[in-house]
Amino acid sequence: MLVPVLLAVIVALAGAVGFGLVQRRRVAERLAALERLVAGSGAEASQAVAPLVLDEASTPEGPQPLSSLRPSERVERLTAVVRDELRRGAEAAALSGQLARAIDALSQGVVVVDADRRPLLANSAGRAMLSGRHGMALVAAATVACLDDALAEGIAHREVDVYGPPQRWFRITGRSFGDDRDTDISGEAGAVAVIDEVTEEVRTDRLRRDFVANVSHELKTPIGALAVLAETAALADEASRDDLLKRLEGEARRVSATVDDLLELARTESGSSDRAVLVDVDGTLDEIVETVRRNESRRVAIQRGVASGARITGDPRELQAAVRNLVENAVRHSEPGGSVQVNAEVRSGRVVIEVVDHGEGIPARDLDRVFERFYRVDASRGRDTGGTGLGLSIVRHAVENLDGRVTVRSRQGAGATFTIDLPLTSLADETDVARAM
Amino acid sequence: MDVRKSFHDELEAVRADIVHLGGVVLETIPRGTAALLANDLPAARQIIAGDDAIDLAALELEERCYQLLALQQPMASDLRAVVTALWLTAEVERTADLMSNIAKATHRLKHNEIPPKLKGFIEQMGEEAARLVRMAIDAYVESSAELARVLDDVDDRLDDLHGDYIKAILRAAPQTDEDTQSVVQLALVGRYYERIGDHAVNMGERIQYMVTGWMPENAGAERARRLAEEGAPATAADGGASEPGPAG
Repeated sequence: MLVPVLLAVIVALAGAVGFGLVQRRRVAERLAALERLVAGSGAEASQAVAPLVLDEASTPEGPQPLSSLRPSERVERLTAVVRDELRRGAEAAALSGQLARAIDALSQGVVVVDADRRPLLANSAGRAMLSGRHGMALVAAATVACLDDALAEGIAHREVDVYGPPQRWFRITGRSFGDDRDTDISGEAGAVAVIDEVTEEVRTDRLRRDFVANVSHELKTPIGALAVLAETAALADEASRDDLLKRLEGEARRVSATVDDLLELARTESGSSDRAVLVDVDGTLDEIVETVRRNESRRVAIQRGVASGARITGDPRELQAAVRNLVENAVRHSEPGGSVQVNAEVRSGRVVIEVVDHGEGIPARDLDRVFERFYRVDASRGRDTGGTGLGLSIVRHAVENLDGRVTVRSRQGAGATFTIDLPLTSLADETDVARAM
Repeated sequence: MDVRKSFHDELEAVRADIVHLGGVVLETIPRGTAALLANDLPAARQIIAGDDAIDLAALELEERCYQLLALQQPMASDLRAVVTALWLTAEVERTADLMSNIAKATHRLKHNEIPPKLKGFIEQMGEEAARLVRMAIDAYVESSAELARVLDDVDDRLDDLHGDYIKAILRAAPQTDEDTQSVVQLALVGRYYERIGDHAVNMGERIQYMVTGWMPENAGAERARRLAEEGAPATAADGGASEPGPAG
């Protein structure tokens, strides 16, 4: 009886020992496989630790070959490595998210491609510029070409202007990046393009260049003419001298008008004055219309509309400068025998002054430039029309000094309407202004 | 290799290239208009010279579309996308030809000052034509049937402008043979802008087809369909039997 029981116990014990040995071997194989996986994963931490994990382990007694460690110690080591790696991964993901949001907040377009020209990243501004909408396809094509050049040569620049309208200018800079560069940031090679809209910069630069060129021309031309006329007058006979002297006077007046306008422009550009009084709009318009009528000789009829009864608060010189320049401009660009209308009315709590002519009109491409200093729609006719090219610039600044704005509507061959929009001074405001004075 | 992924990649590349070609042609509209109004012959020559490159690009796009049809045999919305790409390429290329014609007119008008009133009309027609083409490209980029649908209404303004422009030309009676030639050229310029608007409307119809499968109405086709339904006799042009004559 005892023998079979003993035999059964021995068999059971042998089975358990055998099973335990098999399980231990399986665990060891799986552990080794996990360690090889971690070492081969390419993660930064595992690359640093992999030799340690596979070949030796650090213990208080110093480096030990892994095989000398118990399985539980090896599991502990592996867990620490994986935990470290997960933490580094989470930090990298958070940093990557912050960087992506920062790049997305830029107003410039940013596009990143890898060495095979596959797109890696484009911020919102970049996606909008490259979408092809609103005729931006040229910018997209230039960006792709710039990235190609940057990958080939390291750095590339492109400039694109899109006619529109409105005309817009873009500057695209491309740079390549990669492991061979002198940087401590490792990673795959590629290229980045930054797309900058430089429309304002181009316009300002053009404004500056045109102003310098125009001032030189507007002053040098009559001064040169003065010199020539004076020389000729000195040698001329009695009969011709009178005519030459008249022309001398004309050129001197032209220089004087240009200098006066430059000074007026400087005054209006310097900002609004402290002199704020109640200004009768109808009275000012009537006075200016009367003055221009007296001085003009081209039989252009200047018509006044119904009185508005409007008043504004500000420096009366600003309103006079603005309206006088608009009326003179309208008369200058009207055909002889034509007409100009000068109206003022109150609309939605604002004072709206309109100066309407029926002359040659302004081409659409010039409409947003007519308020620039010395800008002339037809450069060749400037001296014929008698203007200095500064009038509309004076109008713009004078109206801004009165907290208003000036706009123009026009078509070629269909005249022009200039509109000044100003804040109305109500009766209650009038009392406040009177008290302040 | 995933064949469908490769088809969609190539289709996307074709779309991007059509948008780019559209953008290039769109640029020629305001530039060509400015050259005509300013009598800028070098700018006009640039537009004429650039038309060859546009023709080549259009031809290459067409071939790529044929390849897609032959090798991938797309169906349903994919088929509509490829067919639409073919149509749009042709419309864009034709628009470029019309701007090239306007540039050639600039040369022919070089000795004639265009009256300011007519310049104003030309400027407006140029703006409207550019606006229509820009809207058509945007509709294609966004696959927007709504935006595409609006093009026909917007084109009415260009048609009205063209009508007013012709009336203004007729009011200026030509005095010499040279004046007559100038009037003819100016009238043709107006026609070219009007045709650009029509091409933009066509693009809109094709885009609607691409997005929704809707086919544009055609008055002639509708008439023929109605006649067939009513069992109307064939016309002499068909070579068919005529109606029997009165008895006796």
